[in-house]
Amino acid sequence: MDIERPGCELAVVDVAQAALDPAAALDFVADPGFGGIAMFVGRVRDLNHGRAVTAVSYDIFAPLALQQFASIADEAMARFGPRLRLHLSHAHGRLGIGGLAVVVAAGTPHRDEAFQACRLAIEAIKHRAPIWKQEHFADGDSEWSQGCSLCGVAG
Amino acid sequence: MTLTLQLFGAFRELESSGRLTLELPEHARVADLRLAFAEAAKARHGERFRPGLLAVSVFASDQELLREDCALAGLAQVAVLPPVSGG
Repeated sequence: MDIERPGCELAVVDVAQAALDPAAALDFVADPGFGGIAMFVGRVRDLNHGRAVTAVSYDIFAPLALQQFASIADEAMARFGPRLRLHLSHAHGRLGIGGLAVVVAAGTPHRDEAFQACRLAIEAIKHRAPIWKQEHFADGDSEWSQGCSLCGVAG
Repeated sequence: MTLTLQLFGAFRELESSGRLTLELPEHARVADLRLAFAEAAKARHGERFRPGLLAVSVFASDQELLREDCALAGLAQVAVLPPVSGG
């Protein structure tokens, strides 16, 4: 599932169909006029709060997640200029240890904007995208992460 | 009006289908949906339903988050979103 935005590639990827592809993300944000590309890759780690983790399942409300990705891309464009190229993708489904959960890549003429755009996007995804992580532990237990409450609409 | 509530994250585990159909008054708003969901979930699942999680959750359409005073007319499907933990 994906959504169109000029200069941006925004996707929710069902891990049963395909894995996230950092190399393709780098290709997408590259440009002959760009001297800087920054990338963040989030992977499933084997330990959380002292408990051994064996896998993580991601639940996603895909249509709204893609809307939020588009809004994050718009904010990044407004801040870093229309030449920015941005890739945002998140995995949907169950991943083992080391599995790729999220890929953010930003390409810009200079490195500072690339680092900043990449940081802005990953923090915004973590705080605003309707995505939920369930950790599966070595002892057989599973738990949904506490997470960040979506805000700005209450009242 | 009949409305389908889509469940995500910890709420999804309440219903194997990941959705719950609710009957609401014609001019219902999001705040009414919140109460109706709490009542239905309590009746169906007892202590498996966590009111504290609902208190920190918001409601949304496919396109946007919905304020508590937002009218639901015209929406056949709405999602309840617990605190998020992507990345």
